[in-house]
Amino acid sequence: MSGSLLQVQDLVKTFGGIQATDHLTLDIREGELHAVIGPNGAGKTTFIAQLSGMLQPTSGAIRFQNQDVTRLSTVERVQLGMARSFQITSLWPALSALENVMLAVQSRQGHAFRFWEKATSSKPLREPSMQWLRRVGLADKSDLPAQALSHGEQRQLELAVTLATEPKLLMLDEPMAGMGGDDSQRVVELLRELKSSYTILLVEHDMDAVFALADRISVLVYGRCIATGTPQDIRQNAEVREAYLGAEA
Amino acid sequence: MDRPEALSAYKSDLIAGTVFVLLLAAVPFIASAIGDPFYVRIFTRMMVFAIMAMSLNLILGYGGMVCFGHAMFVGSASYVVAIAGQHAASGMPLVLGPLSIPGSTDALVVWPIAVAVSALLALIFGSIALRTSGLYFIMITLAFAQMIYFVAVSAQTYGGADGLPIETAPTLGALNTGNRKELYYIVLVCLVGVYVLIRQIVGSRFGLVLRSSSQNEPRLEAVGLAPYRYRLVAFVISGAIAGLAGALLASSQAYVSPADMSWVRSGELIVMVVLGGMATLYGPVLGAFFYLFAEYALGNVTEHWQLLMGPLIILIVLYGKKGLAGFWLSSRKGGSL
Amino acid sequence: MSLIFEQLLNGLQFGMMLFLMASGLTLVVGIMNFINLAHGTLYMAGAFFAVTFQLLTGSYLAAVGLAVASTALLGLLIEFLIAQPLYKRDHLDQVLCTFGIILFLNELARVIWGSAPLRMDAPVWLDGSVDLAGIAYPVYRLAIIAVSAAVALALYVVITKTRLGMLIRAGASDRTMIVGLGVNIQLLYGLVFAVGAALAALAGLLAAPLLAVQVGMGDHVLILTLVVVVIGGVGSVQGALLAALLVGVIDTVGRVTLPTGFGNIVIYVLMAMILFWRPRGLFPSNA
Repeated sequence: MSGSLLQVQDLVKTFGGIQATDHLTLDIREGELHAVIGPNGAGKTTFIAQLSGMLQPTSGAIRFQNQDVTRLSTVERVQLGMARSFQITSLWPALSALENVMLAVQSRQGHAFRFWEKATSSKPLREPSMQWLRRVGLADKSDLPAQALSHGEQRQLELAVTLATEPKLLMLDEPMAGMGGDDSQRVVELLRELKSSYTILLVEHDMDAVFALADRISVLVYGRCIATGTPQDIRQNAEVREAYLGAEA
Repeated sequence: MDRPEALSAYKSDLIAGTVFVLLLAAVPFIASAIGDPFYVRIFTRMMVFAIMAMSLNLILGYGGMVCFGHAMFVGSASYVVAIAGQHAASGMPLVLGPLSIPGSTDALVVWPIAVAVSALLALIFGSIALRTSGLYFIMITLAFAQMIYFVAVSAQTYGGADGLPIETAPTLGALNTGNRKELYYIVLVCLVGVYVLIRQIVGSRFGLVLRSSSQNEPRLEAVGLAPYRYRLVAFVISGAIAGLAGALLASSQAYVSPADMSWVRSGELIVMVVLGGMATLYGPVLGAFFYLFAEYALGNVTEHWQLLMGPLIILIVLYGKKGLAGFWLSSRKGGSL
Repeated sequence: MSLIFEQLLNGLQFGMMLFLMASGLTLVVGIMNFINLAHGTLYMAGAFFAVTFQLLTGSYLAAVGLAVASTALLGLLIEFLIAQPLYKRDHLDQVLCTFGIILFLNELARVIWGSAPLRMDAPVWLDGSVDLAGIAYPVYRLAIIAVSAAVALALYVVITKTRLGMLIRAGASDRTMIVGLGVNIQLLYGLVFAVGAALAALAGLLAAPLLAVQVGMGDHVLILTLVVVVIGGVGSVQGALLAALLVGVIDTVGRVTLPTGFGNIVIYVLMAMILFWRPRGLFPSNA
């Protein structure tokens, strides 16, 4: 399929007797913001784990830019341009917010193997890193260790680190989890800005954000994709309403 | 420097460090004045161990790699110096297959070789050990060190279990490492040099990756950096610096033995690093000085000083984890390194 | 030929002794995630206690029983005082503390028993040798093999056929799971530690008539035991058995057949090769 940045074909993941991913097929088009929603336990995080290479699927294929990446390691996938953020905040707690982002930037810039210059003083490293911190609203906290930030701020930092890898495909796993209203709003605005430069796969529970941002939505239930379409289509889809409203009622 | 607190912290560290180095530089003069050369010897030993501890801190403190075989890198280099000395004294070259290598007491030749040997061992053992992690890594480094230990014990030509004396001290250009005072200043210069080197490395991009690898490895992969090669390079650098310490140790003791590479020695090095404060630049220096001082002080009280040292280590680990450097850091504001 | 056969038997005997050491240690490491470097000193304690109790009671069997019991108590003491606060801490802390225990116990042994090696005689009723395929093999060594095999069998029965064994297997593969089963974890951990200590003591006292009983005798055995645990896979008693036999035979035969330097290091080379191929040992317990 042309215009398809990521193709997931018949993905299956079983853990002992449990089928977390059940013949999941979907594709993500270049330039779109594709949201993945579904009730709890639908297997959304397992899905992202397989996309990012942290979990090996039992069967099925993942193709990125028409290349089969199913057997590639996480590092290889990131270098090809697929990066994810974590639902449960994953940072380097004793390093400063700036250093956290710098790691992503120096990976992106390809010069992480340098011994001489002091990293935090290096302009080509510092400026882009501060840029990202500014975009998530953490510029004034740049020198604080990550563990000293509030939960919401850590989520923002988590996002900044992922963004700083400047991937072709951004896979965001519930970036707004645990955020208050203002912070969520800021993230929605940020994602709106980023839409034009990145292809985004967004897993989220926050329906307002999803319907405001998504070009297309896929609905996951019990590891299967039961519907894919525009927000309009999904809103009106009977099966989806049953799965969701049934689960929430 | 960006923030005023960081700047004043930097200044306090710089002042403290300079005072420390000046005091060390004064030791030989003070020792002459009071007529007791013993102090020159013991401070030389403390400084050599400080270099060992700093090299271990790079991988242990900053990189989170619990290497229980670090003494092998020190000891191997010491043996290179001693073996080179023995061949020089006997006039017979070392025959390795088709190669015939003459002995030497020229430090400018022997010391780089000693460092290179240690670095090579670190590369070989590190490349295997770093494929494992946690528990297995600790055990495999311990076992590799034992291997080297046994090679030394079985090498009858080079003293075996009794060790090998170094009769002619190597010369470093115009300096003679057999002269206690000259050796002292050579070691002091190396101490400062290694400190500066490690400070650079830790603050660099490479150092950033190293420090992050011990805190959250999956996240590192998720931003596209594979920890293995950074760890391996750090391991080799650490081994090389330990090799330098080994070469200095050989001159300092005028003798090498398998005990210099025993796992007990490796354990003591870990104690020095933790005692001094892991992942701090001067922690290992403090730790080495303190440990050797305690060893001499307690040793003067009783020959059974290990009865006290053992529980002391346990108490420190259970209750004083931040180490000696922790006290300094919390008493002055700002900064982190 | 008969020399090789004799060395193979020696290797088997050495391997079984290593198994006694490794089975306890692999469970402690696997279930409690606790690196106990002091395990070697428990081996030494068993030997020293046996020598002393034999002198005091005049009876070999009483000495064996008392030595094993005393070391098990020592193990419990260590578990209570030092291991317990460290279960939640990282491996580095455990390594350092148990290293401190080694320094302390080695020196304590020196204070109590002195630096000179002690002798322990095997019991008279195990003297002499038996004709095995043309060689005269010492009865005592055969007894070691037999006793160790009996222990291995007993461990097998307990681990595979009893509830306790099930808890042990569960704990070795997933520590957090057994907490959820409502088991008294303190008791289980204490028991595992004590049994490990008892087995180490047994190994030590069995070895005593063959070697010199002296301070530091546990240090080298500890390293070999760690090699066995690593090769066998942490938490796996069957892995420990296989690895112990492998290490025992290769080390013994290697020392006799290879030139000096190589004989000493052959098992480390073996370990490196195995870990290269299987970084978590042959039968890793954790998924």
